Parts: sequence; C-alpha cells; structure tokens
Amino acid sequence: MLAQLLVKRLISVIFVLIGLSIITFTLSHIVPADPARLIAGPRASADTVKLIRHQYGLDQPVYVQYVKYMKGIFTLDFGTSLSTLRPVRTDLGRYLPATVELSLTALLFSIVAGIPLGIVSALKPNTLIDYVGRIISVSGLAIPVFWLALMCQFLFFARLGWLPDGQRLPINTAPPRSITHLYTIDALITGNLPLFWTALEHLVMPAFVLGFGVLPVITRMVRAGMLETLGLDYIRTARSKGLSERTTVMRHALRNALLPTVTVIGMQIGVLLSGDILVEIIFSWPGIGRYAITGVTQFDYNAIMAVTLIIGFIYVFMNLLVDISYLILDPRISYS
Amino acid sequence: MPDNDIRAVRLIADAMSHRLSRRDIITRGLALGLSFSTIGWVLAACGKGSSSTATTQSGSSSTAASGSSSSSTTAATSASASPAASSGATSNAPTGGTPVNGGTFTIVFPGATADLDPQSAYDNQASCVFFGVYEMLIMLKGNSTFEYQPMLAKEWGPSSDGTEWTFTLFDNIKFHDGTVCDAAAVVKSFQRMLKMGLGPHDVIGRFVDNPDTDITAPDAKTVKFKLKTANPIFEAAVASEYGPFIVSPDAVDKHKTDQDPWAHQWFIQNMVGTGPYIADQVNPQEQIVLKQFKDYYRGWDGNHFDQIIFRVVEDTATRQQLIVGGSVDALTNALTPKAVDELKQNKALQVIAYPSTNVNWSTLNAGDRLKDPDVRKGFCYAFPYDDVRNGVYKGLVTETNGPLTPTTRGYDKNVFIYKTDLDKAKQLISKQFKPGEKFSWMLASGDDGTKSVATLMQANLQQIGFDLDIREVERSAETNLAYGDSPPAQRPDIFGDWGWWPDYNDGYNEIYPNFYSKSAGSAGSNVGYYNNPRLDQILETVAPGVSDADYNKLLAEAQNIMTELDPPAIFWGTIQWYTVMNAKVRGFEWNPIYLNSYYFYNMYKVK
Repeated sequence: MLAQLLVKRLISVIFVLIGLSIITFTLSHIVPADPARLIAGPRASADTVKLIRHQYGLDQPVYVQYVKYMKGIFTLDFGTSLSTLRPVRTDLGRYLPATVELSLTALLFSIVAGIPLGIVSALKPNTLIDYVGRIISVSGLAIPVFWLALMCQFLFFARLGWLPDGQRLPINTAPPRSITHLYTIDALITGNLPLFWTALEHLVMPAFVLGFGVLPVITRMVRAGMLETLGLDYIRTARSKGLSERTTVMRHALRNALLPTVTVIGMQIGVLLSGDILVEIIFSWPGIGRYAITGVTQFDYNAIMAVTLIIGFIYVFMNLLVDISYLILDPRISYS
Repeated sequence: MPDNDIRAVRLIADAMSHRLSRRDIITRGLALGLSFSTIGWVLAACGKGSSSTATTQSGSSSTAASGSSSSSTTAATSASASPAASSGATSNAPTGGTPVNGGTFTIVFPGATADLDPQSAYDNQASCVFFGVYEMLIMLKGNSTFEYQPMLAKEWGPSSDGTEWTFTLFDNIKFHDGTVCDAAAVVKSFQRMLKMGLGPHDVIGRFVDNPDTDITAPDAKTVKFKLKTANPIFEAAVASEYGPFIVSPDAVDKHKTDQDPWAHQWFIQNMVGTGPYIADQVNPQEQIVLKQFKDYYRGWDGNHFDQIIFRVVEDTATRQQLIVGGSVDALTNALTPKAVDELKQNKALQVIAYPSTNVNWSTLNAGDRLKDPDVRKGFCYAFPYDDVRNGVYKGLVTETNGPLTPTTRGYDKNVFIYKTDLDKAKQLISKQFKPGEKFSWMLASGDDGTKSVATLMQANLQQIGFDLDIREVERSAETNLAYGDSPPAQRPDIFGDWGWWPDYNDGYNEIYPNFYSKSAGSAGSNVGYYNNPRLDQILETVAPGVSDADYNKLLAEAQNIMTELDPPAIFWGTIQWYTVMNAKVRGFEWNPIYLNSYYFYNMYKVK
C-alpha cells in the first residue's frame, strides 16, 4: 500500500512540477523587462547589451528557451544565474542548506515550544497560563516578521550585545567540513564544539523570529485538538480505569490530537522555506530567500525558476510525508 | 509631548480646518520629518488629495507594508542617487589619536557585486573592491578631479603633438600570482579590455583605434598609446575607475577556454591584480575578504590595515544598526537622508558629505507631447527646487542646474539656473496645453524620495491648473522602458529620476550618452528622445578632442542650450555623496569622481 502511494505521488509530482515550470516561465517572461540590460547596466552600449543577450540565450524565442531549460533540468542543470553569473546549481548548493538549517531550527523551536504550550492551555483552559498562551499565539500571528526581526536585532545585538547581528558564521571563521552542509550538525559531527556554539549563536535570533510566526499555529492546533480529545468517552474511560493523568494525556489524548497538528507542521515547512525571505534579508542569512529576491529584482529567470521549482517540490514532498505519517500515527487510516 | 509631535498635531489641525494649501501640508510635513505615507494620510483626511494622488499614496503605503526590505533597498538606491550641497565637503571627522598598524576595515554594501572582472564591471561598488586589488597606471589625486598621482606609472605625459602618451612604470611590480607586471603585461591587459568589448571598454576605446598596433611596449618599463587624435581628455580616461585596471595576463592565459578566450567567466569570481590587497575569500553575495599582499611593490612601512572586508547587507535599518553598533567601519550612500542627519550627532562616527560629479534629473519627453522647448521650460519653472533639496533630501542635493557640476570639466559657472516660478510655468505650459491637462510621471516603485519629489511637483502643477498622474512601476520595468526601443509616444511625459556622473572627468562623457540624439532608445540613455541639432554638432566637435579653450567654450554653449534654451530634463541639482565611518579611521580621501571608493592603502585606525 505504501509503495502504491509513493508511486502515485511521484507521478503527480512530475505533473505538478511541469505545470509549475510552465506558469513560472510564462509569468517571468511576459513581464516587460530586459535582464541583459540589467546585467549590463545603464551605461553599457547597445552592442554590449546585445552581446550579453546572445551570451545568455535571451535572444531566442521564449518556447526555445523553455525547452532548453527543461532539457537541462533533467540533468539538474538549471542554467546560469543572471544575477550571480554562476551556475544556478552551484548557487543552490550554497544557499539551500542555509535555508534548510534555518527553517528546521525555527520549526524545532516552534514544535518544542508550541506543543507543550498547547497541551497546558488545553489542560487548564481559561486560566492565567491559557491566557498567556493565547497572547503569545495572537502576538505570533499579529507581529510582522520584519518588525520582530529588527526589534530583536536592535535589542539583542545593538543594545545588549548578547547575539551576533546575523550571518551564518563570523566573517573570518571557516565553516566545518561539509557533511550535511548544516553548520551546526557538521560542527557536532566533526567534534568541533566551539564552532557548534558559534553557529548556534548565529542561528538563535533568526530561528526564533521565523519560528515565532509558526508557533501560534501549532499551539492553537494542539490546544483545539486536545480540548476535543479530552472530552471524548475513551479518555473518560481511561481515567475511570485509574490510569495516571500523565499517561492519559500523553499516551491517549495527545496521540490523537496530534494528527491534525502533523498536517499543519508538514505544511509549515513549506511556509518556512518560502516565507523566510525577510528574515534572511534582515539577518544577512545566505539562503535561497535572499537569492530569490536578488533574482526577482534582476529578472534572473533561471534563479527564479529554480527556486520556485524547488519550493514546489518541497511542498509536494512534505505532503507525501504527512500522508505517510498518518499511516504510522493512525493505523486505521487507509489510502487504498 | 515633544516639539515635533506638537507641530505635527498642529499641522493636522490646520490641514483639517483647510487653512493650508496642499503644497503647504507637504512642505511642512517633510520639514517635520513625517513619512510620506503619513503626509498622504493627512492630505486624504482633509480632502486635498486628488484622485490620482490618492492612488499613488495608497500605492506608497502598500509598498512600505510589503516589507522593510523593499523600502530599504529603495532607500539605498535613492540615497545613492541623491545626496548634497555646496562646493565643499562637510565633515565631523575627528583628528589625532595614536596610529595603529594592522587591524580590519569593514565596509558594508547594500547589494552584491556580481561581476568582479574590472574590465567588464561597470559600477562603482565593484570599483570600490578593485581599489584594493587592482591598480591603474595613474589615479586622481586626493579630492581633485583635475590632478593625478602615480599608481603603476611613475611618470607620464603626451608627445609634443599630443597624439602619443607615454607611461613609465615603477620597478619590481608583481601580480598576486607572482608574475611580473611589466609594460608587456600592461599592454596585454589594455588589449584584453578593448578586444573583449564589454562594459567600460569605450572608456579607452574612444581614444584608440587598434589595440594591437596602437598600444605598445617599446621596453619593459614603457607603455605607449597612439591616439586617434590629440585629445587631452585621455589622461582623465586612463585614471577612470571603470576599466583601466590592470589584470594578470598569466591568469588570463591559465584560465581561458575556447569559448572564453579572455577568461572573463573566471575573472567574474576571481581577482588577480597588482594592488596592495589580495583576494582571500570571494563570495560576492555575502562578503569579500582581502588580505595584505606581502610582495606589494610599495612595501608595508607605516600604518595599514591587515584586512579589508566588504559585507553585503540589503536592509537599510540593519546597515544603520551595524554602523552604529560598530560591527562595520564604513558605508557610502547606503542610508536614508534622515538617518545620515541623525548620525552626525554620534561621536563614535564621522559623517563626511562631499561634492560629487553626480547630477540628478527627471527627463522630459521631448519626442512626444513635450516637443516644444517652451513647455519644457515651463516644467523646469514649476519644479519645487527648494522643497526637494532641503525638505526631501535634507540638504544632500544642492543647487546646480544643468547636466554638469562645478567639479566636472567644462562646467560653466554662469549656467542658467531655474528657480521655482509658478506664474512663468503657467504661462509657458499654457502655450500648448489648456488648463486641466493631465501629464504623466513614471517612477520606480518603492522609491520614496522620488515619489515625494513627484508629489511636490504634482502640487505645484495643480496650483497652476494642471494635473500630474504619478505612475509607479517596478524599477526593472522602468529601466526596460527607458533603455528599450519603445517610441516616445509610449513613454511618460516625465521619466523617473536619473542620477548620472561621468566615467572620468569630462563634461562630454556626461552629456553624450544622455542627450545626443543618436543615443536615443536602446542606443544609449537618451530616454526622452531629445534632439537638438546644435547640441549634436557641439558633441561631435568635442568628441575627437579640442583645445581646452574651445572645449570650455563649446561646453558652455551646450549647457546654455540644455538649460535656458531647450531643456531636455529638469535638473534638480548636484548630489552630495556621504560616507559614514568609524571615528577612529584615518586616511580617507573622498573624490568627486571615484564615488563610493576608498584608497585602502593609505588608511588605518587610531587608538
């Protein structure tokens, strides 16, 4: 059954990505802008602009450009970035791990903080702790991420000096040997604890800011799920049989309450990956969000296409993982 | 309540009671430091926003709401296209202190420097990096735009007839790859620049016909240039920060391919020059780190930095926090005018505002509805010069009408200067247009400075019975329309704000790309399709080289045409550039041509 599900989903991934590529390619090419002129700059002569247009294949018909691009994708050749002038694949290899590390840390923070907060709020509804949880939830939803980022930077870097202003590592610090390309993990694997702490210090503020926006979603889902589950008959039965409150809540209530939360968490990974652009810019975090923005302002078709396709792929992939996790969390569910 | 708040409340009260005109509200609002969206709100609340204004302002707030990044990027851009004032520099730079040898100097850039090939890159941010890694034959001296100092060449000069220039190199110059930089290497570097034909190749290509035969090395120390015609401007061009940096021919040979015979792709990401600093880490989207080149032929006696770091921070607010917090040592034109004003009070920083060759203007569409020079003069009279210079740009734009600044060769100090005169404006525009006529102004979205300027202009035009439709488009779309082949009829009446400075000290080099009739459309930057036969004639006469007397006379006439007789644009004024720097840094010398550049070798910190 699992194999069938995987095959079906992988086939759908191909169609989704082809559709996405057509939409993105069309949209980016109907905008009246000339990337060659942007590369050459306003002072460049018409001949120079023409040369650059030819060099990057921008003088070919759009459908030829599309077919050429799609052919390349099958060999993971996303073309050359018009803004960095490097192969897009090289750029992605450099920027994607930074975004993944930031997003996963943000997600970890929001799960670790959000689930207990949701449980406690559900166990003690309409008490002080529930109100605090709700205030945090509302704040997370209401505070714009760029404002929170700037305020944190102002407080923890400029005023208190507790945390660095941004970047993955200080400028003169060499990154750890690349294994996973995630600096914190690689530093741990290679046993370089000082470097791990340095990388973690740099990660704390952007991950907190990014995770703070996801925290309320998780908290509210857990709270609602728990409130619903705790009122069900089987929980009453469990309690009447003398099971401890801890076992009742953690083993019986939480597991069921987590089902919708898992869906939300899966979707939030996509949101985090695509929504951390402002955080990356404010904290000078070298991720694909920052790369995408440069691509958009420079009309860097290849970079825009690659980032869109990758984020699209991640969304689809996360959906698949969520579906699989359902099977594990609740054996009653069947996709047949 | 602070004074400013009280004044803001009074402004709102006065506006609500209809005691103030729309123009007064904008001017007083700007003087109070209110944001443009707030002023827009006041105007809307008191019913003084026309329908088109309301649209613009809602666009404005939505742009701001879309994220600080976009507005800050704009702020950086507009700042780089905006600053300031008089003929001299203003600075709160401290003096004294005990010099320290070594240490790190960190500069923050608002964006990445994608192309690090000095013979194709055509922007001053890249040149800022090049001043650490590469060297030219000669460079401008200190703050002067007319005097030169040695770089690779210890002596230089023209032949008696002016058609040949000879440069004699210093001894023991080495490239960072260990190879010798002799005359042959210099010749090869210039040949690469001209044959590659990218970016700034015309900086030298204008003067030299055939790079293979006209640039020669008669001996190991001598480089000769045979010019098309005798042209004294050549000296200025050789000292341009765009192009004439010398790259290692060995590195070119080593990294060239069949498809890329000049190793351009390799040089985009790698730097091998003769400069005092060698590239240590090159990651242009994040940071570039330079360290001392131990074999530098001038040696390392005295006080110098060990390391130069260029860091990319896109967000304006973050840049401000970094410079205030001391994480970075310097930035140039990368904050808002208001922030610069505030930082002048910060004792840990020095704010150096200096005259530049940078002029800002808004182009008038001379190829379509504004064909009549009188109408264009009318727009020049309608422009709110004082409000723009002192209100919007906080004194960082100063009075110089016309395309040249006092620091540019050929500037005529008697140039005709427009002052705001709404009666004259009405009279001149009315020659062609009836009251109620609507004009259009296209500008890049997110550019709050230019939007403020356009709205002030809108207020002035409304006062004399005309309307102005302010259209915001994405900057790249604006650039595309401006430099594309769309005909004048598809272009707005007034076009953006353009900041321009010459590649080297030459008034012709400033005027030609922007106002020569054959530079229109995709052929150049004449975005308004301006066509004045006499101006064309002057430019064609000056191009190959004339005597200084003729040059000054002809360019004075050109400036008179472009201001008093047949203005192609509204020239707002000269931009004063600024550098905000750690107060402990010494040895910085600004130059009106080398904008955004630092001569790192001479710089150090004090205790």
